[in-house]
Amino acid sequence: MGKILEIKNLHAKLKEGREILKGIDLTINEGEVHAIMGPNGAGKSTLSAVLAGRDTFEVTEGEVTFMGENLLEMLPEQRSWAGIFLGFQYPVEIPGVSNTNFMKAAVNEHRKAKGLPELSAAEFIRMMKEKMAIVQMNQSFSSRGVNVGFSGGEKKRNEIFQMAMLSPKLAILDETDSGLDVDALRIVGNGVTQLKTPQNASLVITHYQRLLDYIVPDIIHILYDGRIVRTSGAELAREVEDKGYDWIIKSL
Amino acid sequence: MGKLEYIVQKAGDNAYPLHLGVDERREVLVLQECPGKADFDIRLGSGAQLDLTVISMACSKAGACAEPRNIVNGFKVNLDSENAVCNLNGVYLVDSGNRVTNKVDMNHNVGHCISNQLFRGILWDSSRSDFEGRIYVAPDAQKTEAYQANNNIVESEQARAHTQPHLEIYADDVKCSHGATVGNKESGELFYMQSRGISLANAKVLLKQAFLLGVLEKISDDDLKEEMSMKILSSLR
Repeated sequence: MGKILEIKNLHAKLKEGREILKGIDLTINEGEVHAIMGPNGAGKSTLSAVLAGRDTFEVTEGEVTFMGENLLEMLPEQRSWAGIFLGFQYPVEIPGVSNTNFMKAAVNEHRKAKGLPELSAAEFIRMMKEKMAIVQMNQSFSSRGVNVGFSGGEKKRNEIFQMAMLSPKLAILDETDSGLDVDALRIVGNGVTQLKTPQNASLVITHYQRLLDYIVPDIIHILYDGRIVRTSGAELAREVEDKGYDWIIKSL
Repeated sequence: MGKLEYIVQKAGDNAYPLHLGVDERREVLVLQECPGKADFDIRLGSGAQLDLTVISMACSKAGACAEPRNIVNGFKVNLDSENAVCNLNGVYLVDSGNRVTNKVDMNHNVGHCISNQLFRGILWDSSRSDFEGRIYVAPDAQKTEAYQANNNIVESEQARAHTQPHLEIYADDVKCSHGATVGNKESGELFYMQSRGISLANAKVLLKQAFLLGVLEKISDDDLKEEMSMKILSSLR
């Protein structure tokens, strides 16, 4: 079982501000689904942003190795080429750039990074259709501006569609369940499950247990005040749902 | 709508009398790649509609004229008959020490007319743009709709985009709006694109394209729209 991600003693702070991650250790292997749960303000979204390379945060200490390479030295786009995918909590709207042109640019840069030629128009359209079906996305979305006028559920489905197009080694899904009704949750959950292979891995970040009914994790971590304070099997999620986070915090 | 009139502007002074008769419709596209001055004198008859798009390429990659490539556009619009529609669209690309000025004087002298102004530009190096947009709505010009937007992307510390909306509205039953933005691109959009593997440089070009496409999409002729898009695209950086 190959190691995909190894985080050692990761500290990070807001560029102009306080420390948010205070020493994270986390290893993710091929074929694994990890979940990170925790109360608001624990640092969950900071962790995902730091892994994707958002420059509003600064890493002050620690190491992150991704597929044997130093992740922290890579630009966000290089991380994407290397196989990191971040599903955004709040996907960004880009008026004037169609979903098709956006994904064409992304897929072709991925191919270029791998030394592959660009896809032909026909190959690309076929790929779009196939991947849109995974999240039951209407094809009329291809010509619309990226996320422009999409409902909350449509935006999250679009995230999973993009993930399917890029087939990442590690998908980090940041609060993908927020703003979703039960139907959208099921579609998103099924989409992620369909994309699971023995060679890739996912890191699901969530406040609630409900998404984990659809994406069943192998390992759950509780993040609190910038540290992972507990790691356990899937049953931990149920316990959090029933009792909240307080009992874990009190037991520290 | 009638056939689109496409004009490649010559260097020097240019006058464009655009006087439309009752219910007449005209669409005019002007491409400016040389230094010069253009005076648009627009008068619209009752029920007439003018769609005017002016593309000012004051950038070194475009055209063969020598620099400095300063372009000055004056739009004098008089809406003296009801139910007329005037759409003014402008795109400007300005670099090195060049300068582009767009001065709009939109006069709603009678009611029940619609005007739209949409001007977008990108500035590099030590270039400069000026947008002065006056909207006048006469005291009895009720049911007027007058909209104005000027958006600028400024790519260097030395470039300057001046924008000055000026509204004089004397009627009370009107719909008017104006908006001006000057800035660099949204870092949230760039990071989102990068996180999908689109390199920063390409992401910036895609966003600039999208920004200008918002104006170019007003051109009704697909071939000319494509030709203008390609011309602009090849000048982006």
